[in-house]
Amino acid sequence: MTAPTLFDYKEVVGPDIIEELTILASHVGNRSIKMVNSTAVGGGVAEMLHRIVPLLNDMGIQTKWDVIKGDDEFFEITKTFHNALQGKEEYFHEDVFKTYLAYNEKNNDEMDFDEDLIVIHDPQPAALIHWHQNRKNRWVWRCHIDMSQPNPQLWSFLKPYVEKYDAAIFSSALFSTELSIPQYRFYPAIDPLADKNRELDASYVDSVLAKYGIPRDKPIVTQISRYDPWKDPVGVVQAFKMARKYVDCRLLLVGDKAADDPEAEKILEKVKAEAGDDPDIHILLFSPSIATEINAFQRASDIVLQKSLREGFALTVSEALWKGRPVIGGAVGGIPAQIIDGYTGLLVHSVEGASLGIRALLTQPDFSKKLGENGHQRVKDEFLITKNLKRYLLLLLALDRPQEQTIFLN
Amino acid sequence: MREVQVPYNTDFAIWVSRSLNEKALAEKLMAVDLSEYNTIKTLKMRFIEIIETYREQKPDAFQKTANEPFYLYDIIRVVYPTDKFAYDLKSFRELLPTISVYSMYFHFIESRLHTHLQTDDFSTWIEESLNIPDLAQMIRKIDFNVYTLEGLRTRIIQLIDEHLKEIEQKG
Repeated sequence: MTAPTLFDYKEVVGPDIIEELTILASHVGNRSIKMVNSTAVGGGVAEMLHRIVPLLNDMGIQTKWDVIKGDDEFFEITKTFHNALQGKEEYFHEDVFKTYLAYNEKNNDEMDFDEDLIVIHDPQPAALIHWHQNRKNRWVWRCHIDMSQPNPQLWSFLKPYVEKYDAAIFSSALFSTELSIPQYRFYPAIDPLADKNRELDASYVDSVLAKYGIPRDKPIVTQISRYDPWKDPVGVVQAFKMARKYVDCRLLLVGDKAADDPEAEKILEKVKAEAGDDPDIHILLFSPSIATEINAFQRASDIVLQKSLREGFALTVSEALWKGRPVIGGAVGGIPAQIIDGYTGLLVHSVEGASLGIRALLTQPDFSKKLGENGHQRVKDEFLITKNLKRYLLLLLALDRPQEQTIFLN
Repeated sequence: MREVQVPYNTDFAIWVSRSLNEKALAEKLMAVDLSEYNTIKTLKMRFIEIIETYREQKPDAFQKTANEPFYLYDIIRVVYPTDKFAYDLKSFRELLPTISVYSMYFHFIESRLHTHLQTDDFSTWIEESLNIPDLAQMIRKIDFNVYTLEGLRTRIIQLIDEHLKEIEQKG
């Protein structure tokens, strides 16, 4: 399948949004961007770059994407960096930092950075800036991880590099940290044309449900999440059982299992024990799941839950909202940015809250429908890939005019 | 948030209400009529005055720690012309449903910060270029503090439709 063009998005987001992007792109003019990250496949960042890079090119912004090279030694180090920057306790030997810098230097020697804007994604290539201190172009660090409580030792090493950038971009104010450079907020985004989100035929949705033996005889309440304690699947089963004393429904739990995740097995056992032999509880485990099937599960659901106790941004919420589903989400991480309580979904803080939410939504279909509609609109306004394209265009304009609070384009 | 629950027209009021649980102060902040302020400086001074008066009345409120921090954003506004334009009241009426809510916000609420006038762009144009002062006056008098932007759009359209109908009947 060829990558969708900007024109393909017109159908799903409406002509006005595409028109706005075209106008903004004409003001940005003939500019170039280079994106740099550490992997070409796997993970949300690579997934998004695969879509956003061709679309920026469609708009006339010459955009290239380079992936830094490294072997197992380097990626072991950056994996520990990733966890430590998200708050994990870790002690780093001085040699680790030297190795990290050596890999960055080697990559720097092999790459060129001639574009107007260089966007470095995440910590792996963050030190590349070190060799570009007398630059003419702009460099921005796009941090996709939660940096609100970084490991102090690691952060004291990395921060001086980050502060050499012209600006940093975080996914939420909650995930940012104090820096001496300007910070911008780019919410993460979903792609409405990806298999996980595109429109599906009703017959396909039916066939997926039939394939996994899930009857459509009563409302379906679904949580799609890894079997991880922070996603609280046990709490979901408890909330469902409490709600079902009042409303008849089925619970569908869908989760991926990483190949080397013994923890998931343990959690899954707990979930199964909590569910007992209840025929209305369906527990599915994939390794890995198929995107269109996940899409089908969401579309077949009357309510989608994301009852997390701790979260990153949790774009699964936006995926469900985009499909017009009413969503009940835990009030953690990026979920409150997506769910405005009582308007684009329901925010809950406990098992009891989730069970009340299920009862409220299943007994008030008009209210559920309204939440779904408002949620769809909120995703369209803030959490779609087209909004991210707009953010990159605005960033190019803003970096050109660092002193201006209001930029008038004529 | 103004799109969700009027009259929650400022983030400050929402935070004061939800995270500090100072409902009275939130209401006082919400009741500030934004149409009376055409500079940020005077609006800021009004907010400070309200908060300082509240401090005298309820000093305990200032000892509280909020449930959640207020993250202050700075905003860079990018204002650009669209390819849409109106040349008479009828074409303006047809245009209104097609413009974005951001365009509504800019022309009806924010522009007074740029023009330093106590009026919106729409009624100024209707009065000065179309010479329909009565309609301009009605649009200018809309209390936008208690409308969502979509509600505001609907209200303006309603006023124009009534005006056009009147002309047709006189016709």
